[in-house]
Amino acid sequence: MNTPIRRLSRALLWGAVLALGQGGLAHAASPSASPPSSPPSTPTGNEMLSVTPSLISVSVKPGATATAELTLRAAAALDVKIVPQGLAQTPDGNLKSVPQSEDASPYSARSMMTAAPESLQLKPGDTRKVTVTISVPTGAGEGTRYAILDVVGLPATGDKNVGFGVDLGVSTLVTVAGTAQDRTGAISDITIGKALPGQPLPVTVALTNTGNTHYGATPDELVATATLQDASGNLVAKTDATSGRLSLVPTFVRDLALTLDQSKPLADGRYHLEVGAGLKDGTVLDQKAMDFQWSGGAVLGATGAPVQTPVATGTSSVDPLMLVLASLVGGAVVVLVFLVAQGSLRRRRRAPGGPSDT
Amino acid sequence: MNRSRLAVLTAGAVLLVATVLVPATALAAGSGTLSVSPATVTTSSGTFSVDIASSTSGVNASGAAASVTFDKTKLQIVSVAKASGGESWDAAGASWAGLPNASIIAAANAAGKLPAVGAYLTSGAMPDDPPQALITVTFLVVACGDSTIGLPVGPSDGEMLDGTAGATYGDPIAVTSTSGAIVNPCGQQTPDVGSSSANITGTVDAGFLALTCPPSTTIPLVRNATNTKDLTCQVSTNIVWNLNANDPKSGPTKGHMTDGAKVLANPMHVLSGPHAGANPGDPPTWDYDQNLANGGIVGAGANTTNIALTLSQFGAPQDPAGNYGIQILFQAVNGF
Repeated sequence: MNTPIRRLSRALLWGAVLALGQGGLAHAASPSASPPSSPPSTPTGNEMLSVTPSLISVSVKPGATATAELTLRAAAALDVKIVPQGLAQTPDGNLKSVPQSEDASPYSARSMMTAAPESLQLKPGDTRKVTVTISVPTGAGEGTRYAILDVVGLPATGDKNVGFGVDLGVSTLVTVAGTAQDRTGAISDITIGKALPGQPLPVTVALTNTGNTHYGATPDELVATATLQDASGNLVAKTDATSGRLSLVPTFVRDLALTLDQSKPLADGRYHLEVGAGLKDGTVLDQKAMDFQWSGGAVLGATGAPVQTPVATGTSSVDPLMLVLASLVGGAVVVLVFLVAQGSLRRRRRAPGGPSDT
Repeated sequence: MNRSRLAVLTAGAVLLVATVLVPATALAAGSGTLSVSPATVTTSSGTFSVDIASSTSGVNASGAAASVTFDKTKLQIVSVAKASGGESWDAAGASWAGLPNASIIAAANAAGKLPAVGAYLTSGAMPDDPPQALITVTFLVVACGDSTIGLPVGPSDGEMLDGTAGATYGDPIAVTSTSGAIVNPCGQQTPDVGSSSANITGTVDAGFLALTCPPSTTIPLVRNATNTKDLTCQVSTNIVWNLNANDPKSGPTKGHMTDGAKVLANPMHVLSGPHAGANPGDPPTWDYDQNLANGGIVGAGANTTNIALTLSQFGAPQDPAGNYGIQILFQAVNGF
């Protein structure tokens, strides 16, 4: 092997050693998250505006103050303003900042936050630190408070007719230390969509977070279940679905979409629908039931009804992690059986007069 | 040989090489040192950063790797980045291995040890003086008390490679390390109100968020036509995100292009995620169609993503002539 190739192979081998060393640790910590190529953990510096970290989470006792430091980095000339705003959530789970006039949540941390400096100018390549101070008042109450720190960068627009600014929303979670963190929820609405004959029946369950802290992000996702019975009490369809990735913030509503795939077209008539919402760990947040009249592929009328059966949540669905573990154990058993069989075969071959000796 | 068997054998071979061959390689001449800079940090709260640097004696280096140990009850890692600046491995154009993502940092914070991060050259070498910065580690102080930032040495921990041209290029060299000291007396803890009630246990997520959009563009404005202009923004991050579009103006002109007192009759829309119409000739449908009079989400996902966006502005017959303009604010937010 010539020298350049040997150099390259040594270097690559060394890189592989390091990557393997980290891969083991990453998988041990997070068995469900294993993208083959890890996303970068820091900005490259080529972004118009970046902020690190992108989320602040602190636990502070009432009457105390915490600070966090943000690092801003720009690849363009920008006028930057840093403004604490309210945090709002849309029914699909996405987050946005809202100004004081729209920040009606009793769980807002907006007024607890200040940033220094509040404005600055960045040149291409500049890196600047911003100190965020979070002061929790003595009468803050229980639970968690939420805000978004808007880091707004405005470039010069020149003579063009549409200018663009960039706004990095740093989600901020302030746990009021030493207080109860209640995870409760209520189904506030059930919507049954239209369905063509033979098509699955879409059902949307609106879940409101009535607690004082967020819940529902991976790995303990929100779970919704639904069962549909005909007028005779026969089970027509049953389904469940998870809604992971994003938490549900107190006072906000998440729409959980379900699809009831009945085995045969839904005939006109009266039906009983039961839905449940909970968490993957088995926590049941709420159950609701409704009776409705189905006619011509749509709901004609619906009324609330008592829940007839307990609705299971997380424990009823198959946990993908358990499937992976089961297949790993299964695989190990297969390998073990193979090795035992191979060893047994070897011993038999070595036996005097065995086929391998001939 | 089928593909899966080949994959298993390949993985096995790499593991074998990693665990057997590398440690068995003879050490080259010269020695290297890994160190923490600054060597002593005095702090009481918030975050601080240290550089992990390499230096050599009697040899130049072509690679350096360092793992970092710390007292997880007193410190938590916020971020790990390639050290920047003139005297750094990054500035020398090194290749990198082991730069951690958020989940690896989370695991490191649980274990009190950051797995090795390394940089290496495939040709050339780093000078032996001054020390070459490898990585910058930012810590958050979570509890008072003195502690140590350690740099363990050995296979899969602190290592350095010979950069001498010739047969020994890339061979390991003997490495020692010097730890860093964190001085944090408990009597000086935290800038709180009412020290007896203070209890600040902070974790600052290790993620990052960046957004790149063109600074401006020109959309044609033709009457009786839907005028469009395409652009691309990039959300750069390592966790889940959503992108919102908004006109920062308020009042009745929000979302409308204006020219002084003149206002276009129709608001601008921001579209993304096109789908072909159901029938030939049908207009496309969109995953997101945000009327800027209200504003809202135009994209969502995870990790770094380029988002194709389309601005749409209908020119109404009654719109007076003018030079209209608008500013659009794109907001990226990380989910949790």
